[in-house]
Amino acid sequence: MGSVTRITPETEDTSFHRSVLTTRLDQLANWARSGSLWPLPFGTACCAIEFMSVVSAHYDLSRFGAEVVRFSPRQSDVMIVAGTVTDKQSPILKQIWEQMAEPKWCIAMGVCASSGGFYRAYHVTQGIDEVVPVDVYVPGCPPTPEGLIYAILELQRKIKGERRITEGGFRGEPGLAGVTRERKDGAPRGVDPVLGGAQVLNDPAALSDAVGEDPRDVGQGRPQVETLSPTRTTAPDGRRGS
Amino acid sequence: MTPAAPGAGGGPLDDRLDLALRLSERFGGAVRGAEEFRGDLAVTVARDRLHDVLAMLRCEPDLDFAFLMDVTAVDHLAWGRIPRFDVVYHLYSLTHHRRLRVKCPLEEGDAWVPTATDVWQGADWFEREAWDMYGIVFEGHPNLRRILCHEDFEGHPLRKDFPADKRFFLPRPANLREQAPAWVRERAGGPAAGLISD
Repeated sequence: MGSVTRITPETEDTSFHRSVLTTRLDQLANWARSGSLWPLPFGTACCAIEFMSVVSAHYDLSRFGAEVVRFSPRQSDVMIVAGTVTDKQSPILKQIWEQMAEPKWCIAMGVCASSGGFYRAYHVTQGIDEVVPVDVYVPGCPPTPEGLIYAILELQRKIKGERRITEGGFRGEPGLAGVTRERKDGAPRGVDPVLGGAQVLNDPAALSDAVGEDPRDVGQGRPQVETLSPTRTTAPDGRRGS
Repeated sequence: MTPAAPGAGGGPLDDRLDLALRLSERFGGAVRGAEEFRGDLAVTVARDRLHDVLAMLRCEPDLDFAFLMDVTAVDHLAWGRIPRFDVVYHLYSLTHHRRLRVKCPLEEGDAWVPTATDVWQGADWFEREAWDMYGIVFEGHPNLRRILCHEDFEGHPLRKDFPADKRFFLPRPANLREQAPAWVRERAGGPAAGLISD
């Protein structure tokens, strides 16, 4: 039973709009990717304890779609390096990173992972960006759970700006973000990792560094932003890295 | 009834004096000195009798320092002291509840001592650490390799003339199985073979 709807141009038009969604393929993929980030914890120190509290009930990272912690690099999307990484450990970190499938992202949680922290010493990697590309740095020793949640949100914002499907853009390809700092023997500090790390989330101008506008945007009518690169020797506020 | 134990730490001062005197009588000039700090006795022993002293402290029933708590070294470079290094053994007697510290001064160009692994098996990793950090050679050690720094590391980072932030790059994860000496690989089976060195 029921009434018969007369098909008029108005009703036809409405039903069409209710059943079809138009979007860009990249946006669709980015929406899905940013909402289902599976973290891989690379926890080596106290930051990992804070990470546990982030994924536990009180802070509940599942609200942001990132609660499915995987301990296999094959199954995870974002590596969260939580803790001090030594020079003996960093090749292991790199190996695990290389085992992750694209698309993949990396968060340096805490000052040790971002810059070596107070371990300016013979045994500690002065920022994991010496060996793996970092998308977001989280300051703090250790960071608060809110700090890590903010980093996840910033990463999601970054992912939503990516165009990996339509323009390619996996990290292995040249000309893209995701380079690591050049390292030499001794104490290489191309970018001052303390400033490059701690400042990223505090300084709105530097935020675009971490959130990473696509470097290919440069010179294409979009606002030009400074991107993290191994050649940058000046921190965002003009202080020179040592 | 155990006899009143001449030992060090915690007990009456007489006990500690007794032990120092006893070592001095037994080993003569090889016991260079004794000092007390916060109730614990420290004796300084020359290298040529060091192993005998350690063996006696371990084996005599009324001493019975069965627990080797630590072996480490001190670099006195900043004070300009000659000899530059001390190797320090921290001993504890579980039966008599006594502590004792044994120091052995070493010249910079001649920084070696006999191993204590034949007295306490637990000396193995302590001595490897002291070698790794200070470059002290423990003669006769069955497996004197670095224990904390990686294999491509050069120098001994806790020496006071080592630049604090000097680093060495390790290009790939260490293959512990490959690095272990043959006798370790033979004795240890299973997937963790390279990790075991008892």
